[in-house]
Amino acid sequence: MGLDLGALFREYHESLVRMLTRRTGDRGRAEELAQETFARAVAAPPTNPRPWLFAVALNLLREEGRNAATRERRLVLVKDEDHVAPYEQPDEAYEREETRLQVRAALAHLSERDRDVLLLQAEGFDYDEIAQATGLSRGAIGTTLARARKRMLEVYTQGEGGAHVARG
Amino acid sequence: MSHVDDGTLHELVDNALDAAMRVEVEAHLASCGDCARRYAEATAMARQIVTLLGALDVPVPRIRVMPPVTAAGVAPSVAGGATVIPMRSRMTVLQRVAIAASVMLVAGVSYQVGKRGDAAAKVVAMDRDVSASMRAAPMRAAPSVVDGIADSFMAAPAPSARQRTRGGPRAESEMVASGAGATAGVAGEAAAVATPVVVPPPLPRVTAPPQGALAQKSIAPGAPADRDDARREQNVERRVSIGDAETPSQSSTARQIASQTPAQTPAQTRSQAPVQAATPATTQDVLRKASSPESMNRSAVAGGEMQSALPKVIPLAGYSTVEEASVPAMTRRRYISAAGTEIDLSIMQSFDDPKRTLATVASTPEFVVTSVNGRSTVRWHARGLDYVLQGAVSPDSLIKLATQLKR
Repeated sequence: MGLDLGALFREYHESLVRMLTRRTGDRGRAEELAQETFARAVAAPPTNPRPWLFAVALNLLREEGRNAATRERRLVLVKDEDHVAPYEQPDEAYEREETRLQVRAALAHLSERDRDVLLLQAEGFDYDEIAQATGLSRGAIGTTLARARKRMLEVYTQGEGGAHVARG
Repeated sequence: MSHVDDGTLHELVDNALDAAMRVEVEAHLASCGDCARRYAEATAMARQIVTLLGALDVPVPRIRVMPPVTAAGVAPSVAGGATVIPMRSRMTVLQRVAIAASVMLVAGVSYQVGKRGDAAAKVVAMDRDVSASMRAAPMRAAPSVVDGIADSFMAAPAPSARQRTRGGPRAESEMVASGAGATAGVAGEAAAVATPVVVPPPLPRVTAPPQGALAQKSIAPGAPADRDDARREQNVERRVSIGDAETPSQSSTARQIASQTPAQTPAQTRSQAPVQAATPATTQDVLRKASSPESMNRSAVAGGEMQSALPKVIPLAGYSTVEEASVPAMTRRRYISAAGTEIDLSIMQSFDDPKRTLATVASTPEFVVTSVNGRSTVRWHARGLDYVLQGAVSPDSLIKLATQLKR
């Protein structure tokens, strides 16, 4: 039976891109990864799409990270100076950016596995799905989340205190 | 039971405990102050994490230029300081196939930079799923025509009687949208009306070409084919560009799929002002109806059941509208600047979904920009390469960037 790619896409694409954006800090890259992931779904239609898609995406991400050549080719985003963003006060914009950096830094302090679990949970995955997508046992998810949340908030609140947080 | 461990507490927070366990844990929490406090903390933590992660979301992506991976390897970096991110070849193919196969925009507008005299080309831009792009890229940009159009489309999904408004200094966006049942009126314009494809990468769907003056043809995926077809279609296109009598050709089921890139890179490309915002538009928006009476009549007769939503005029700063042709389901407008730069613009409503707009441009493009809900895709053919540029940026900056790239 054919894969209803359209339905799959409608269901999961946004969530996938969001998760990958949070994971990488780079929306463009997230979209590329998502595209690649969906392309693979076409090639090998999954029976259990959501965990599958996210697992594939996270794997691709890992592979990419390991592949130095790919990393180098991934150059800096073109910054669009004329980008029309919604107007905000300069101090708001600054704060927003600060928060963003701090959250990214906090996330970077987690282990890769903890980070993945956290992000999947944030996308509404239930524990079973998280287990499937990450290969962890279902029983381990609760403790993983407990640890990840705690750690992330620890680091974040430290960072908020103004201490320089090393980027991971 | 003994105190509840962290993992279990979080499972409770996430509602991941089976019924029996939950009852047990809740019973314990009811009688144990410490655990109850820890549970409250865990709940707060989970909530805070959600908020913090939200801060990482990027609703409006930045612009990226993705040159294709050519046989010679990665395409050279673009001059002008723009850095490039290479597209994997597979994605290139998929994207091009996607582009070839369909156009689906939500309240999108597209326009082209080009010069008169070159073969016309069509834009087919793929966009993401409607809801996805809407949610992920909320229109928060400064008022732009695109957003305005999108707004108007989303606000008026139900087709209504078609009207036309004359633009004042602050002309509204005009669009002619008609019901999903649009039939014969669907102009002979070589609008790349494609089968609705919601997904990139979709499998290309090539459907029957229409009859009529426009020798449209199905286009199979693949770059070389595209170009050849493009060249041919471009020539055909010219004949039916604005000003010519538009022949409503095909039936509603006939869909044209076109993917075109300019046959060659024109020596010069005019820079163009993008479709400008509806912000204090000092544009003189002269609406002169150059619609072909034939097609209008025909559609009036044939398309009795066709209705259109309230169209709004799209102002283009620095440009006046010199020609316009409208039939139910589609509007075409040519803008011309004082310097003689032309922009051809057409907007058409999807057959299948009144909320969706298909936008195509038949003009003389070196590159084509399609904007949907603030997210733009630029298809640009230059130096023998096809470039696809994505991002959510203002049309101004896209034009600027593309002009740089052109050098």
